[in-house]
Amino acid sequence: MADKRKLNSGDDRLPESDRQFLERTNVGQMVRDVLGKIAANRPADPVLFLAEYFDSVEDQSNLVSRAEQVLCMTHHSRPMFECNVRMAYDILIKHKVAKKLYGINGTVYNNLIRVLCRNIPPAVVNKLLRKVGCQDFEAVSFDVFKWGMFTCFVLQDYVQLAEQLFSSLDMQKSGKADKVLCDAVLEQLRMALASNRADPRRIVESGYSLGPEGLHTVLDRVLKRGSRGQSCETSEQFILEAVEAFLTKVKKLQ
Amino acid sequence: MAEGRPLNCNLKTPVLLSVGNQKTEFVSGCKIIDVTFPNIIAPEIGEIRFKNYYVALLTIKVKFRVSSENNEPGADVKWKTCVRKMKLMPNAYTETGSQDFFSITKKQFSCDLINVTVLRLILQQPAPVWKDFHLENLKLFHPFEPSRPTALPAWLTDNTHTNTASSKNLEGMPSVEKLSSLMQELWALSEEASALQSSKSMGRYEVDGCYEINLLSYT
Repeated sequence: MADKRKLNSGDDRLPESDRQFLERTNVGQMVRDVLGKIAANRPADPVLFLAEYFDSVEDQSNLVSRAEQVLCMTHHSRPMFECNVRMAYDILIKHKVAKKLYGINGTVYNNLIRVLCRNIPPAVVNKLLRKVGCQDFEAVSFDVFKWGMFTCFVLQDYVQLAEQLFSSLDMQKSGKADKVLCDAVLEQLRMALASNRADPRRIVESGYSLGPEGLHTVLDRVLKRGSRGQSCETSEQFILEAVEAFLTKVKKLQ
Repeated sequence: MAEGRPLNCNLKTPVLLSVGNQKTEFVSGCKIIDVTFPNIIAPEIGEIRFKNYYVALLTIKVKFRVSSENNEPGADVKWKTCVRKMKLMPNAYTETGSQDFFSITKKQFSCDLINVTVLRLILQQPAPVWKDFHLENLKLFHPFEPSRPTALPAWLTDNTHTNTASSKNLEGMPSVEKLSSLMQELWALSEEASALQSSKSMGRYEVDGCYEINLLSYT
């Protein structure tokens, strides 16, 4: 309504310039914002980024989804990610805990993690939350928040890779892979993940056992044992086991 | 050379043997040092090191722990001589060897020093020209096992299969190359996650979902 009245009154006087129009409708500021964000985040698909940005720019009410949007703007390996985490934290800090009490508590934090991980199996998310989750009443500091977000995003990449690994093990594309084969691969993975960065020899060994040469030896041994094709493993089971190996490297929040 | 720390043992103060009553001063030229091993379960001695101080002859006797089956009370535990009258000074009246460093190793022992309860060092100095004689810095060491050259890991010496690309693909198996690269990426991601962790603390007191009551009472 206010805009309309202004428009009318503008008509009475001088015709509105382009700049004035952009400023009045706030489009100029908005486009400037999104251009800045696109330059900072360098998304792989800028057009999709734009579409998603404007899609959600209307919905500013839900803090968690706003934070999610900010966090998803760039990949976690980019330096900008850290700034985005800060921004998300600043958004969430407006969360109302009680009367005149604002901040991030475990409820919001866990909620955000669940929202971010909506594409990965719930069993996996539960396992993650057991490590990085907070109690509902706990106040979440930025350090913890940052660590949690980072772990969450790395885990997502990890799950994606594990899915790929499974699908390449699943030769018939039947959604089920040979259990013996899966076990052998997971065992190798577990061994590599158990290596500590302080022990260079273990690292070299793990590197070898995951290399084509080492993997070949192991798989060859499995093949020769000839007990293949007796039982199968589904993708979920496989991913869950792979994630378990991953989460052993994540320290529990104390 | 023995490696590592010396054995944790109890060195008793040297006892000077005297003949007759205490009023008649007669220096026997013989001292005894007893060594016990209170905190070691099965002490094994591989080397004895010390710096000589005018000791001419050294004899070492040992008492072994009796094995449990014939461990009757009052069982006759004999002293065994491990080193008999070893010459530390070629001539007791001259300086040679009087302040040398000595290391007596397994080669010089007449028996293996395993399960020792007491070790008795008998120091003798027949020459009365020296004011005092003793051993300095007496230390006992575990037998030194020559460190075996660390075996090369199997994967370094393993050349059972050739490097040809054709052998890398097993029948009825996914491409090993692809699996390998995926698994390496997984590994890298897990390292990334573990690298970020530092000492972030929520200040929780509970351990496995329970509170330690003692911790709480102080806060």
